[in-house]
Order: sequence, then structure tokens, then C-alpha cells
Amino acid sequence: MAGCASMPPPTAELGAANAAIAVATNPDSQHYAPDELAAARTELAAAQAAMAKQDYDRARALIEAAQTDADLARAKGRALAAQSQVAIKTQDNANLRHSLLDQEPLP
Amino acid sequence: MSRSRIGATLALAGILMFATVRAEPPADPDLQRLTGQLAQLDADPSLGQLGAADRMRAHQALDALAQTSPRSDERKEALYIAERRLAAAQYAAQAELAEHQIDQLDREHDRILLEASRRDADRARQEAERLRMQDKAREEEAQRAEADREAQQQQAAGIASDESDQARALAEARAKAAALAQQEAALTGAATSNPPTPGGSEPRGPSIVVYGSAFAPAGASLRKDPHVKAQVDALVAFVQEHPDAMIRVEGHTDNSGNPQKNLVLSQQRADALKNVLRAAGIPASRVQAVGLGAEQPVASNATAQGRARNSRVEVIALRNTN
Repeated sequence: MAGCASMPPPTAELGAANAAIAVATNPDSQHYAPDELAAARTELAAAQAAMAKQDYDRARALIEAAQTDADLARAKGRALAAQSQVAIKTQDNANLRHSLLDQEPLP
Repeated sequence: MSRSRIGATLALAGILMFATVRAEPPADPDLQRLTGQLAQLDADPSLGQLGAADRMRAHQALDALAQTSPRSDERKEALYIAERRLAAAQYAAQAELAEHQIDQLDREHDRILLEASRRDADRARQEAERLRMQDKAREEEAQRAEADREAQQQQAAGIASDESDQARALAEARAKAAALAQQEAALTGAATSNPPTPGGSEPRGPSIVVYGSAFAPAGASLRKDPHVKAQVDALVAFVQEHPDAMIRVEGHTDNSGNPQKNLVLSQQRADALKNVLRAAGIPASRVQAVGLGAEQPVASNATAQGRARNSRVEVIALRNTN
């Protein structure tokens, strides 16, 4: 059975998930992964409620979900922001080649 | 029974290909799907080595999913986690790839700017070289024009085109003129009461002429040339032959160009010869230098020959009018 009474409260895990959400609360993730970030926050809040009810098994599962969604929000924001930068800089360089070196811009 | 066992064996084989050995054969499609996607990420040539930490967690989440019993609440939660861990691993790898591309694009940006500034510098160098060549061509053109003019003047003087012949002949002519002038002076000295001079060609007194070709083109300095020096020597000899006469040095030009400049040039050339005489010991007080410009031609300015004769400095040993 999952609800093993000898398991201590997942306080450290809660702190880690909280930190992960803090990291994911950056402009890129807020812009590109708002749903994932919102899910992480909701799960963290639910985990804290479960902790308060000393339902540590439930809390542990919710904390893992919060940590996972926070990590996903961070990675997704970072990836999509970087890809957007790649597109912009590629076009910039093509324009620069065209205007400074008289080379045809990329299609 | 045997059919399901074959299916389980195949599924196990699939899992084994993807590196993780399971204790029990996973019979559910979700696990197979996620495992396949993670294997795909691992095998991707551009992404395979990226996002290692997130990928590690994805593998762990899939392991945990494989450990759960079907249709349990735990399994639902583990599936949620595995799905999200896999997506995070994919995004993390893409992020690293894109960040690497950004670095390359930034470097390329710098290279383009560098290349552009290099081209600008090349263009400036080429333009400077072009201007220099243009200048040189212009200078050569001017020298050719001067050479042409001198050739015309030499031709006009009726002297062979060879410069040394021309100058030698000129020097001989000067010497002869000087001798004639001396002779004439003796004659006129013998008949001072007889104003009209023989031939009427030298009403003011004996003279010799230094033509413009002895001077630098459009300038007042005598050319450094042995034949020009011969003329100067003849000039000095001529003046020394008339120790008691006042010397008038008259500069003349042809009528080409600006009259004011011609006046100045004729004066400068007359002054130059006066200086030559002074250097040879003739007192400046005996010598009067004037510039008359183009006002007193001795030939037609319509031809090169005529202009060459008009461009001249006459040195006259003035007759004593008393």
C-alpha cells in the first residue's frame, strides 16, 4: 500500500518544486509555456494543502507533478525563445549580407 | 495464450532495443509509444547529445511508469509524469541546439561586418589608387603638351628638330649676332651723327634675342641645359662687348593665354636675364628689365612658328643718344 505511515513529510521535495517554479517564472516560459507553469503552480498549491492534511503520499505525488511541469515550462520556454531568436538572427544576417556585401538574401 | 506470449516477446525485444531492460514485459501501448519517442530523441543526430539532465529524468520517469501496475491510480500519475518528462527532454535538447545555432549566427554576423569593413577599406584603397593614376596621367599629358610646344618652338626657330643641333645653331647665331653688333657698334660709333641705323632693323641699338624655348614652359627659370647655357654665355659676351651702353632687357610673349599673365611672364623672364647679367658682373644699374607681354609681336601669332618667334627676350645695347 502506498500510504506508508513511516514515510516522512516530503518537505525537501516541496522546497525543490518551489525552486523549480521560481526558475520557470521567467519571461520566456511565461510567454511560451503559460499552461505548464499554471499547472505547476496549481499542483504545488494542492501539494501544500495535502501536506497540511498530513496526506504525504498525495502531497508527494502532487509535488512530483509540480516539479515536472515546472521543468517542462522551463525547457519549453527556453527552446521556443531560442528558436525564435534563430529565425530572427538568420533573417538579420541575410539582410546584412544583402545590404553590406551585395549578396542575395536567403529565400 | 501463445499469441499473447509472442506479442509480449516482441514488445520486450522493442524495449531491449531502446536500452532499458525491464523486469516484466510492458504490455501497454502508452509505454511503448513514449519509449519509442525517447529512443528517437536519443538517435537524433542533431539532438542526441543534448539536454542530458532532462533526458535522464525522462528515462527515469519511463522506468517508473513501467514499474506500475496497469489501471492503477499510480499508473495514471506515472503516465502523466512520463509524458511531461519526455516533452521536457525534447524541448531541452531543442533549446541547446537552438542556442548553439544562435552562437553561430552571432559569429556569422560579426564575420559579415568584418568582411564589409574590409571591402570598404579595399574600395577606399582602389579609389585612392585610381585618383593617383588619374593624376599621373594628367601630369604626363601636361608634359606631353609641353614637349609638343617646345618641339613646335624649335621648329619655328627654323632649327633642326634635334635639340642639340638647334641649340648649337642658336648659339652660333648669337655669336654671329654679337660679332655683327660689335661691328655695327664700331660703325655707328664712327658715325654718331648718323641716327638711322644700317638696315633700319635695329633702331635702338644692337640686340640679341633669347627665345622662349630657353625657359621652362610658362615659367621664368632658364632650363638647365648645356645649349641654354651657351646662349647665356653669348648674351653675356654680347653685353660685355658694349661696356658703355645701357642695356635694355625686354620680355615679350606670344598672344596665347591671359594678357595679364603674359605681361607678368614677360617681366619675370626679363628679370631672370637681368639676374644672369648681374651674376656675370654687369652692374644692375646698367640694366633695365621690362615686360611687354604680347603687344609687340615680330611675327604672326596665327602659326606656331610665329608664336615661337614672338615669345622672346630681346637684349638691346642702347645707343648713346647724345
